[in-house]
Amino acid sequence: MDLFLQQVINGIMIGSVYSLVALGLTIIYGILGVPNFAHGSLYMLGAYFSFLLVSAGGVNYWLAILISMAALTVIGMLIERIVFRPLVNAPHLNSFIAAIGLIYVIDNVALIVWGPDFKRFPPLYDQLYHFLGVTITLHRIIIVITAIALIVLLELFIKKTAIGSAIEATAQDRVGARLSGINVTRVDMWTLGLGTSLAAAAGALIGPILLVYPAMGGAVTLKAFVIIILGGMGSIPGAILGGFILGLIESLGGAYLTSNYHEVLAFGLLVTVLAIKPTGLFGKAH
Amino acid sequence: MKTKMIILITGFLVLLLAAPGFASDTISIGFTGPLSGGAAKYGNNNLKGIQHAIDEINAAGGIAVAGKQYTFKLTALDDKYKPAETVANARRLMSTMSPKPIAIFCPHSGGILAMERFNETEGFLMHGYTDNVAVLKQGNKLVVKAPMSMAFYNSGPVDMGWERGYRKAVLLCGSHEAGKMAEKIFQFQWKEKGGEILEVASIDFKSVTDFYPYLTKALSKSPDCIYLYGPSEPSAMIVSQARELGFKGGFLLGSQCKMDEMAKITPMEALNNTVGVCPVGMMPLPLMQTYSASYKAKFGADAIPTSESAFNYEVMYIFAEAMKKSGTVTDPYKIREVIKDVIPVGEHAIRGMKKLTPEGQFISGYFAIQILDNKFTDPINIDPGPWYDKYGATWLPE
Repeated sequence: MDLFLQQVINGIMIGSVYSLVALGLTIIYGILGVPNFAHGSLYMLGAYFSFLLVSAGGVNYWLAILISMAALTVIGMLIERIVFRPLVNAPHLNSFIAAIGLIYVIDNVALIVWGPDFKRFPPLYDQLYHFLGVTITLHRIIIVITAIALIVLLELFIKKTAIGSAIEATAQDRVGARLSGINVTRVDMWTLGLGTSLAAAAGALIGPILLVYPAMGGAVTLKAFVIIILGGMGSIPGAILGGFILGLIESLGGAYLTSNYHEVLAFGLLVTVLAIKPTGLFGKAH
Repeated sequence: MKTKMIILITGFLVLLLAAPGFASDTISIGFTGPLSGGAAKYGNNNLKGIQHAIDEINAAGGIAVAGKQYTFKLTALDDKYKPAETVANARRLMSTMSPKPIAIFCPHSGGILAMERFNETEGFLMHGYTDNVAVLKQGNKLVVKAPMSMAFYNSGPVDMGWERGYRKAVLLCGSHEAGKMAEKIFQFQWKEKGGEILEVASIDFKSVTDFYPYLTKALSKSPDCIYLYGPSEPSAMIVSQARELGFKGGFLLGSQCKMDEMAKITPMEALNNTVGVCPVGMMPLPLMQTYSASYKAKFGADAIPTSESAFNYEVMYIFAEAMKKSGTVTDPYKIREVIKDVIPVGEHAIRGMKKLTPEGQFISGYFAIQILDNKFTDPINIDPGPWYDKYGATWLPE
C-alpha cells in the first residue's frame, strides 16, 4: 500500500463531502448573514431520509438522494420562514441563538423519532478497486464524482438562472438588489432551501460508508465552520477549496505528523491563515 | 372570586399535606447518564436494566421492609456524559425527589468520581457502571460497581491473541477517558508478554467522520493485530474499513466493544479472527437465557440485552434485597453493609455476582469469545479469582 497516495485519495474523498457541506453553509451566510449552526443537523436529516427510503422503503439509492434533497429544500425554506425571517430586524445575536436552538430541536426530534441506535445502510457499491498501491471502494469514487458534479451544477445554477442571478446580486449588495426589484425575502427563502439541499446531498452520499445516528451532524458542523472561515465567510470558491484543503490536511497530517491531534492541525491551519489574511483566503474586506 | 381562590388554596394545601403520605411508601432511585448525543444509546442501555428490574419488582407488589410495603420510583436525568452536569443532576435529584433518592446510578467514571465528593454527606448509595478502578480508590463507603477491572477484562483477549501468535499490535482507541486508560493498560499487558506496539492512535469518536486516514497509517506498519476500545458501532466500522484496506490479521477488543452489536453493523466474514468479551446474551448462564427472553419481550424482539442492562438489573435487585435485610430504606450505610450477605440474589443473579470486595467491587462470572470461520466460537470461561488474588480490585499499571 502506498501511504502517501492512499492518504491523498482519502483526503480528496472526505474533502469533497466537506466542500459540499461548507458550500451550503457559506451561501446561507452570504445571503442571510446567519451562521446556521444547525447545518450539520440538516445533514443528519438528509442521511436519515435517504437511509429510511433505501432500507425500509426499498427505494433506489439515487432516487432516495433526490427525494431527501427535495424534502430538505422544503424544510430549509420552512426554517427560513418560521425561524429566521421573524428575526430579520432583531439584533444579530437573536438569529445566532435561534440557530443554536435549532440544533437541539432537530437532534432531539431525531432522537425521539428514530431512537439513539446507530444505523447502517444495506450494502450498495462495495466493489473494491486497487491501482498504484491504492485501495478504494466504488462508493467512495461515486461520492467524489457526485460531489464535484453538484458543485458544478450549483455554479451553473447561480450563473445561468434568474433565481441564481438574484441570489448572487443579493449576496453582493442587498439594498442594491432590492432597489433593482429583486424580492430579497424570497431570495432568503430560496437560499436556505438550496443550502440545506446541499447538506442533505452530503449526508445522503456519505451515509452508506459511515453510521447514521442523531448526533452525527456535530462533527461536520464544526468542520464546515472551520472551512468557511478559512475560505472567507460567504465565499463559494473559498468553501470548495477550503473543504479539500481540510480533508487533505487531516489525512496527510495524520499520516506524517500525528494522528492523535488531527483537530489541532485543522485549527492550527485556521489560526495561521487568519493571522496572515484575517478575512480568509477569498474573503473581501468590508 | 375570593371564595374560589380560598377553595383553590385549601385544595392545594391538602394536596401538599397528603403528598408525603403517599410518598412515604415509595423508594426513590435516581439515574444520571448520557441520554442524548453520541452516547445516548449507552446511557439508555444502562437505564433499561434498572427500569426493567423496578418494573418487575413493582409488578410483584414491591418489597416489604420492616413490615411495610414499598414500591420503587425511578427518575432519570440526562448529563450528556459530563461530570459537571452529573453533579447538577445529583443535586437536582436530591432536592426534587420525594422521598430523597436512596441510590443513584451513573454509568461513567467521571460522573461517579464527581459525586463521590458529596454522596457520603448527602447520604446516597451509588452504583458506578464503569470498569475504571479509580472510583474505588477514593475509599468511598457508599459506592459499589459491577463491571470488573478493565485490566482483568483485557487480560482475556490479550492472552488469547498471544496464543493465536499475534506479536505486532496497533492500538486504535477512543480519546475518551476510558479509551486513554485502555491504551495504557493494553500497552503494559502486551509489552509484558514480549509483544511489540507499532502505533498508538486515539480517535475522537465525536469528531472523526472517516477512519480511512487512521487505518491507512496504522496498516502501513504491517501489524498482525489491532486492539480496539470504543463504542461498538464505530468500532465495527473500523473493522469493516480495515478489511476493505486489505488487513488480514486479528482484532483484540476492549470491553466497550460488544461483539453482538458489532455483528449487526459488520458482516461476520469481516469480523473473523476477532477476540473479545462474550456478549451477555450468549453467556452460557441459565438465568441469563431467561433474562434475555424477558428483555426481548419487554423492549422488542430485536433488542439486544447488553452488559449495561444486565449488570444494572442485577444491582437493582441487590439494592432491593439489601434494603429488606437491613430493615431500612433511609440509611445507606446499613444497606451497604449487608450487600455482601444478600448476594447472589437467587434467580435474579443473571450475571452471577457472588462476591463483594471491601472496596465495593462485585466479582461475577466472565467469558471471552472469538469469531472464527464466520461464526462465534463457544464462550471461554475465565475465572476472575486468580487475577483478583494477584492484582486486587484497584490495580492499574504505574
